[in-house]
Amino acid sequence: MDHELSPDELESLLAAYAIDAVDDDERRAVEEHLRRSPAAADEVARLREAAAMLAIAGGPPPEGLWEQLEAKLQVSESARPPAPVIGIGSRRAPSPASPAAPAAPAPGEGDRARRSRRRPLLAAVAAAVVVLLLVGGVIVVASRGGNDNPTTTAALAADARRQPGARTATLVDDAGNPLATAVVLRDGRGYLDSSLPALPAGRTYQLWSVGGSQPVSLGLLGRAPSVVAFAASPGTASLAVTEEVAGGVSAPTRAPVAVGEVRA
Amino acid sequence: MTPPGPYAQTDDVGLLIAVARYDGDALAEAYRRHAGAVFALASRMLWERATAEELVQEIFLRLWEQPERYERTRGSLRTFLLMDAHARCVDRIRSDSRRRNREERVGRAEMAEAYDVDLEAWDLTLAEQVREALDTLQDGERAAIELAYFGGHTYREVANILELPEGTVKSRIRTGLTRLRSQLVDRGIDGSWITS
Repeated sequence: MDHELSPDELESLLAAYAIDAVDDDERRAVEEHLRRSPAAADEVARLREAAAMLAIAGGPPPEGLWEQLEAKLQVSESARPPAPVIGIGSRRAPSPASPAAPAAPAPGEGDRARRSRRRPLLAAVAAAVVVLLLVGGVIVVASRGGNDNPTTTAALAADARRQPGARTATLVDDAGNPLATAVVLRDGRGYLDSSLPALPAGRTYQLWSVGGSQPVSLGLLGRAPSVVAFAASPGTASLAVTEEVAGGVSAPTRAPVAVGEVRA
Repeated sequence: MTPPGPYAQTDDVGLLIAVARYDGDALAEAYRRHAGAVFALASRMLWERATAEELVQEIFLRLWEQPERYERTRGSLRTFLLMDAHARCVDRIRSDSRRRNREERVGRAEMAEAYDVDLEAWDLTLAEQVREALDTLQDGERAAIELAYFGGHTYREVANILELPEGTVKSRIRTGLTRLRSQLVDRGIDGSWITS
């Protein structure tokens, strides 16, 4: 491109950009524009929803293609350490047909295979790799560290309670019976130790940070959680646990089974 | 493809959360829901079954490796996967075209017609609505959009093919897509138009 595009020119390119019909220079210029203009970014998102309609044609994917894809997942699985049999979110024992979640690396634990899975910017979040998904304005924090090793996590949790600035919570049910205790550190790292009753297959417990305008998911706890690491906002006011369908939900669908305020 | 698994009732956002935890069953469910559409788009753009299959694998491997690339506020998971697939197809078409002559590419684009791919039952009503929405496009808008979208052409190339000024093509793409968008909103198939 031999000249800077004017705002009008950029606006006129949004639709073509939305269907990848611009050249590389124009694409870079539009993307720069989108970073500065939320309105333009919204417009592109709307046009893309419309463009996706052009691809309405469906039908099943080719026979055997999933099996090929699954084999590739297993190749990347084999680089991971074996997952512990008991752990958070382990809906069933790992089998060759279902890649199991990797163990969450403990801080300072030197395992190259695990490290290679961690995203550098997020590696600072010690106990679990955290994925942020923006869900209709609610940030869902999904712990990508799945099957924590209970022994290690329990040790970390015990240690966390002795850290300066650690805050704790006791989560109780409607009748006031304590079902779980939690500790939240200054940096937002947290641990939940629970005696929640095991759930049937297809269900999971999900942990939430409450107190803001909407509950924020802190991750899935699995059917029979014991000690679980999570990452919360350091200022988290209260924690709640709900029972949900396996795989979790973006907002709680029912009243919590246990809630508790986080106190200094 | 395997029958519906433990995530059959989970919404797309829930699937993404589980995929982020390296849950293969969740990826299988996302594949079950959306791979057909991705494959249909790739087949139509790339014209080679093997290349289209490769592309489907690439798209779902990327979802597995980088689920955080998906932002719910920017549309449904299906739209995200289709846009991802579309961009990859366009890359392939453009690098490929350096070795092909222009006539052949034009021929390919003109052959790209007719929505005659088999549709799953859940798609049928929706497909009918989308066809009706597409029918509200003016011929010029539709030609420009389809050449660009399915042919992988830039608006400049479309202008050459249709022998129209570039500005005309840009504005036809824009008015056409905007019209399509409002038609779809009117029909209540806005945004998360299909999640299961």
